[in-house]
This record gives sequence, structure tokens and C-alpha cells, in this order.
Amino acid sequence: MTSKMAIQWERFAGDTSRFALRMAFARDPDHGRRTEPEIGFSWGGIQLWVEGKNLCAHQEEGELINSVHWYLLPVIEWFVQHWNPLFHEELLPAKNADNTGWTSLRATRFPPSAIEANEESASEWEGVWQAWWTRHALRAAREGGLFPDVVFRRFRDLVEVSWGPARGQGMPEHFNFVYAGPDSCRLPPADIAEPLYEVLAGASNYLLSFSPNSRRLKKLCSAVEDMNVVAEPDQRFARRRLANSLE
Amino acid sequence: MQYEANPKHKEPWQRGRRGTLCPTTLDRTLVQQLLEESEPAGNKRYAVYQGRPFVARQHGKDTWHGHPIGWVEVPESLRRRWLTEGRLQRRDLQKFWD
Repeated sequence: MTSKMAIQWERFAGDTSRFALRMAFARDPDHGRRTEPEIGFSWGGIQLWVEGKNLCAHQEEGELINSVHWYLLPVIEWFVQHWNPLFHEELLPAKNADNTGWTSLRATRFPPSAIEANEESASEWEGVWQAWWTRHALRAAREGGLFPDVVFRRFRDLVEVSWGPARGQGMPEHFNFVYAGPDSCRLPPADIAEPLYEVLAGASNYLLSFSPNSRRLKKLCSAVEDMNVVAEPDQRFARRRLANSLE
Repeated sequence: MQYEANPKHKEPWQRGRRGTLCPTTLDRTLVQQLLEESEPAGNKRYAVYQGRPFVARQHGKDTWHGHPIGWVEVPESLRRRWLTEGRLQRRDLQKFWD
């Protein structure tokens, strides 16, 4: 069952048995009140599919809702801004404390007591940890929404998607993700990059059509276009080169 | 700075229309006080109340709304300073991390 929402635009790309993304925009039920205009236009729903599991599917008051509903512009901007680390940064911030990005982050979120005793070392540990989390954890873009705790990172020749149970502040007791985890999967980068890019590009252009003079949206669309340009040899993180290298 | 509530963070719950919910124990006067005591970091302002972190975002000329967040979302430098100043305890970080 899906939440009742009059869809104005939607895009679905990928293979749900591997990786797929769906984004849909709808009219903000609060008519953009208490938000910036660009944000208000981006109200909608998102589904993130990994190996047959829709990580955004959740129960609200006992009803199954397939999408997370929130302002999607911050999420789109986050994917675009952190595209390179999402697909190319593997090393974890503190140490490999476990097998996946999510479980390792969880295990290292507080400095060990030996480090905590030294103010400078503890600050460095936490700063590095938080910077890594900001680049890799979807929740860094939640901006007040209720999103699953999903971490993307490179893992050797693959891209790892890992997730786990973490009840965010302000999440009501009757709100529960169906696939809470902890769990993970590792896929060839193109399986994730291609559908992700397709949805991000479509969504960005749609938002710009609403607000063509928005500097913020112009900047976003420009960044997305750059991702699509065939890279110079030293720009090894661009999407097309990434995809080509896997063919 | 003037606080204005954002309906998306307020009770009652509406399926598919709400985000993180503000505690019902926070009344308007208290929230306005939190906003005035909050500290800026980037384009947001952060506050702590009974060990829990809150963020405020500007949506108008001098108007702000806010909602609860986890300590994981608060800039590390601010978090550490508040720890040093005794405005939060280490156990608060663990309890309200996500």
C-alpha cells in the first residue's frame, strides 16, 4: 500500500533485485510553509531498493508505506556532492572494526577510553569520524526527515551498501523500517551508479523547471552535468569513466 | 529571532506527512528561549535541552523553525565544547546519538 500522494513527477531506474531508486515529487501538503521555495518544491517520496529489499519501506501506525516522504532536494544534493567518496572511498575513518561500513561506524562512533583521555586526540577522532559519516551516510542529508540509516562506500572493486537499526531522535514509536538490518550487499559500481545518476539528473532538471532562476538549482544541475561528462584521464571519479571502466 | 513552528515536526501524526517530531513538553516560550540561547554553525543554529540536541533553520527574514536531531548531526567542535562546559554529559551523547 502506498501513501496517498498526487504524483507530479516520478522516475524509477535500476533493477530491484540489484539496486534501484525511485523518486517522486508531489505537492507539499503544507504548501511550502516554513521552508525555502526550492525545498518546498521538492516534497515527495523516495524508495531505495537493494537486492529485493526496499530500505525505505516502513510501518506507520501499522500501515505499510513503501516510500519515505520528505523534502528530497537535500538528498539529491547530498548524492551529487558526495558522488566521488560514495563510489571511491573505502577506508573507514577510525579503523575497520567490523565487516561493513555501517557496523564499523557504529563500533567506532565514540573514541576508545585511551584516546578519550586526551582532549586533542579525542577531538581529532570525532572530527574525522563525523566527516566520513557526512560523506557516506544517507542520514547526513535527512534535514528533519525520517530516513533509513544507510551507508555507501567503495569495497575493493565493488560498492557496498550497508544499513542497520538506529532509531533517530524524534522518530515516533509507531514508525518502523521493514528492513532494519543490520545487513549489507556489495555490487559492481555501475549497477548503482547508472540508475542513481538517471534519477538524480531527471529530478534535478524537474526542480529547475519550477524555479529556473534559482542559483541553488542551477548549481545542482551544473554539478550533475559535470558528472555526466566524459572525464579527462586525471578525473578518475567521473561517472562515465567509472561506468566505462566496468564494461 | 522569532520562532515559528513547522507543522511537519508537530503532533498530531499524519501518515506520510511528518518528519522528526518535537517533544510535546516543549512549549512555545521554552522553544523561543532555546532559539535565543542557540549557537550558530554554518547556516543553522544548535541548542541543547535536557541532554537532547535541537537544530533551528531559518525560513524567513528573521524567523526560524526547529526540530530534534541526534548528536551525530551536531558539529563535533560544538559538541566537544558543550561537553567541556558541562552543558551535556557523555551519557547524553550515547542516549541521543542517532
